Amino acid sequence: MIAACKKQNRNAQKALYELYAPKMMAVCLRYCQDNETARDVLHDGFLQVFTQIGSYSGKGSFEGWLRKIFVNLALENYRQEKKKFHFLNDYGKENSELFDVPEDDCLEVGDIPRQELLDIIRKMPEGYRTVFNLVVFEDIPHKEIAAMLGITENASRSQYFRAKTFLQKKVQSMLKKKYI
Amino acid sequence: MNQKDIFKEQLKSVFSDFEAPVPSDGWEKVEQSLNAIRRSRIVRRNWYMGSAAATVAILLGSLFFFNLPQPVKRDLPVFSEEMTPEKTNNVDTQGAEIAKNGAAEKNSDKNIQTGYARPKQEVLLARHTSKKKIELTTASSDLEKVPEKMVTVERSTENEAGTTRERIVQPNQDEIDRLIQEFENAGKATLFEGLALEEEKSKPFMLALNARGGLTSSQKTVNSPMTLRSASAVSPSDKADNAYPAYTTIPFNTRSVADNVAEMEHDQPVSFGITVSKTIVERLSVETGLVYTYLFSRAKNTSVDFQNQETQHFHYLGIPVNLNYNFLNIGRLGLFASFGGMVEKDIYGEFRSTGQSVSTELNSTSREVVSTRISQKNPQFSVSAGVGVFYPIYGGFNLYGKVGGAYYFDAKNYEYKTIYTDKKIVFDLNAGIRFDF
Repeated sequence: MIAACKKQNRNAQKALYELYAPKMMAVCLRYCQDNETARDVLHDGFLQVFTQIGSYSGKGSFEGWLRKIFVNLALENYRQEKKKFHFLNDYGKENSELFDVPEDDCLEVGDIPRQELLDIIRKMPEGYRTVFNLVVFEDIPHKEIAAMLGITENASRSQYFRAKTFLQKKVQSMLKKKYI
Repeated sequence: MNQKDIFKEQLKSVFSDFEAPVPSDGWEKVEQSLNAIRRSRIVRRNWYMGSAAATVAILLGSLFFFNLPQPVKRDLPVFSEEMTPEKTNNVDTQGAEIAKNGAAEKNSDKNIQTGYARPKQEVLLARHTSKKKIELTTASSDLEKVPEKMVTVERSTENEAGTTRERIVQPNQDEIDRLIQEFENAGKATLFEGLALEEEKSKPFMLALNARGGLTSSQKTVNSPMTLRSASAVSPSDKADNAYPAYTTIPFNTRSVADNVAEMEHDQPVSFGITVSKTIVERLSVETGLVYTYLFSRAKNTSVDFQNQETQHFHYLGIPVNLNYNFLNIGRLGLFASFGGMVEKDIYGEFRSTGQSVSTELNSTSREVVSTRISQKNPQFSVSAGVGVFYPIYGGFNLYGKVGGAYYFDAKNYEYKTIYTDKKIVFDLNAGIRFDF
């Protein structure tokens, strides 16, 4: 199928889209706050996949290769949003006190339905959510995230910590409601 | 595994096989966009191929039209029949005699040489160019045998000794060829060839000052945000092996951010340079020098609540190496083809961003101005080709012009977009002055 896609075969492209679009949509939804933007990223991502699939060497996971494309598109969207709304949030502020706070207890997220977890993640402020996704799902160190997003390493750690705190509060609240 | 890792692993496992519903018309929209991209590629490819074909056609047409390679011009032998026996100049003393009588001769034609005093004695005058001429004697018998092949022109010259009448007998082309062939067979052809070579031999060095203006610019208007900067410096082709590819390659043009209008423009590059050339073999020279190039780009994003404008200046210095081949001369006008390459590196760059945000909800306006020095990481390599003309104006000075194009290789300078990153092929027009020495 990949070989056929490299030859710009429409049927193969459609098959590939139908196979991977749901998974990539999930990635887009995690990074984008609104559904419209997620759909745009999905659309642009597949355009990029089909126009640049020739550069996929066959080494490594194809799904991983796809995923990088969508993550990068989502990050580009984030960068643009950051430009627009940088004055409205506290992105980039460094609070060294935060780093002295010990790591939180292990969150028991397994009991929370996946869709609800996704909703919590999507409700995070833009900066939190982006760093959180990169740390948790892409395994990228803070140093690299800082370089990618044009922020300091401490700012990246700060955002991640706040995201975790945000998630923790929401999860605990949900668990309380669930068990009361 | 510590708690942090457990937390991450828990979340990852929760979302590992997560799938979300996609828009029902998702594929149709992707297909439409792919078709649009394909059409634009076809148009662009046809344009490039058309340009290349036109260039080749012009070159080939020129060659065929002028029937290259042209033989040394030998069509100017003139036969002169001296009608006045008083004049007895000797061939070997022509220069001195002309000097002596020059003032008296009001209408002397220096191409005419009266070699002998006897009537009916004729002189073959062969001239390769307007500058060089040789005089050779030949028998008149051939001419008398074929009078129908001649064109006769009579003219008179007044001098102190009276009026001299000359009858210029010009043979037609066939006769010229035949006579020259006989002349060459007589073993005197080397004289012709020698003169021809001396005439066409070019000066070994050329110094040139030139200016170049790009004929290609880049303009793009879309409904999605665009920026000249990128946060990553990874090649799109390497993205399979790297964590984060260049954002600059992201096709924004299908993004549907309704209220945003983004414009990006790369101006035509402008260059000035000084080059020196050396002739390595006849008609072929190698050229190098120093070339300064200025690049300017701007991007503008406008939406209901946000305006941003970016400008970017880059100053490059480059070292070109070209081969120039003078493939045709038409009179004094010369045509040449050029092929070569250049390596360039930015010496100064500046990026300026001015952003203004308006929040109606908060009734606030935020303005941000950022101005930074920037530089590209890698040198820029390019190959170029073109055809041009030169025309001698005075002494060793020549005016020249060239039209051509350059292909800019991927220098992996993704951090800042320039015309080199967005347009791989840039057509340009060169003009300058050249001094041969």
